[in-house]
Amino acid sequence: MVICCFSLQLLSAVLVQAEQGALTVEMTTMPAVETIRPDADLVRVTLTFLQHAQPLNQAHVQIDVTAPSHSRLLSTDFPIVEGTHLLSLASVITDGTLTFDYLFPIRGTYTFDVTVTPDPKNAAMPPTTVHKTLHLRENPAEVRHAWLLVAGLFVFGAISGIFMARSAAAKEQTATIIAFAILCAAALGAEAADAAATQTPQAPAGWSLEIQATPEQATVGEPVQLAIALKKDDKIFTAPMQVSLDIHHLEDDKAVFHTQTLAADGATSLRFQFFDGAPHTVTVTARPIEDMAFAQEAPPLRAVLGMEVMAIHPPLPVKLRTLALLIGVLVVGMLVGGFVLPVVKERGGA
Amino acid sequence: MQHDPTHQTPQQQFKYIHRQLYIFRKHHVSVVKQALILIVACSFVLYSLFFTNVPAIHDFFHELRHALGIIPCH
Repeated sequence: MVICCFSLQLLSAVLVQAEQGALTVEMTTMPAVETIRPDADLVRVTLTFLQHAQPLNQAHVQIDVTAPSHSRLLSTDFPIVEGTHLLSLASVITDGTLTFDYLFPIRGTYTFDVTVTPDPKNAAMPPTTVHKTLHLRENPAEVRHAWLLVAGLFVFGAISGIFMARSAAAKEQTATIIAFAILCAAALGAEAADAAATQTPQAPAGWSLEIQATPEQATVGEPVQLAIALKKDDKIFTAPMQVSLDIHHLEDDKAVFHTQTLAADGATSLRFQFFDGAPHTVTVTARPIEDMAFAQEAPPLRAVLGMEVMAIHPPLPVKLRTLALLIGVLVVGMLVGGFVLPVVKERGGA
Repeated sequence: MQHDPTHQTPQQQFKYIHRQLYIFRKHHVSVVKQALILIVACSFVLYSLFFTNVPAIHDFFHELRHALGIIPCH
């Protein structure tokens, strides 16, 4: 029983196992990939690097995550994000694993490009790039809601079709609909968004932690380069440091990204795309590993960067395509109500 | 009483019926026109609910848009 449970757990957790040369990369998620809800669950992604079945030590790892590509038929709720570069994360690994928490924005197949550059002493393994994919289904609740909308439009169309087939003149009903449509037409227009970034570094006892965003104004669909540098007496502390990075969505009050990485030379960077046009905070904490005086002296340095993300509205063709699909459902309902149902009823009566 | 068909001559009655039929035909909306009007009206309503960028409407229906999974938003 225990073996059976353990096997099931392994089946659900291990997504992809890629082997290139002597290097094996395993990717696991928590929760299991089948249960991940995009834009709702913060997913813990763990990459395990094995060389000859042993954890790979002292290697530099670069992870690039790309969003699912465009769908020809149905758009996701973040169409600007589709097919774009979401995340670039670099770290030194010492125990063969790299973990980060990420809120995947949309359904579809994500691409992970993992580049492993081993320690110069490890001459047995050349730099290796492994491509992996992760397929996420849509949130079941959102699928249910979408089907309810489609069913509602179909039923409304069918009822309208029945009325139109029975009544030769529906003047009052039509006039009411026209008046309602005119009221709603006033809703068409454009919207502008503005944003600003602030930086709040803390600098105790000659140490400082700097975080710089490039560009300063984040925009949906474009990655932002977050450069993090640990300084001592205004000079970059060129020694290994441990960095913890958190990105928080302020409007929905939810975590979007979290990771702990190891930077070899006191500086690191992260490319991250803010996929929702809302205020975020980027919180970085860092601590030098080898400086014992610092460890005894103070808690980790902390810097907070406020990011106002500029929203990009969906392209008009995407909007019109989705609108056409919804209206198509309505038209099918009207045809069924106006033509098919009367014929069926007539045959039933005969 | 002048337009009451029961107290009129057959000629006046004929004119009255002819006038009523004219009014009916003038105000009659064909099924195709009804369907087109309904489609246009529903397009306006659906666009306003799900696709407009007007802040007040967009913000009010923002959660609804994301709850459906197929409505493009920012």
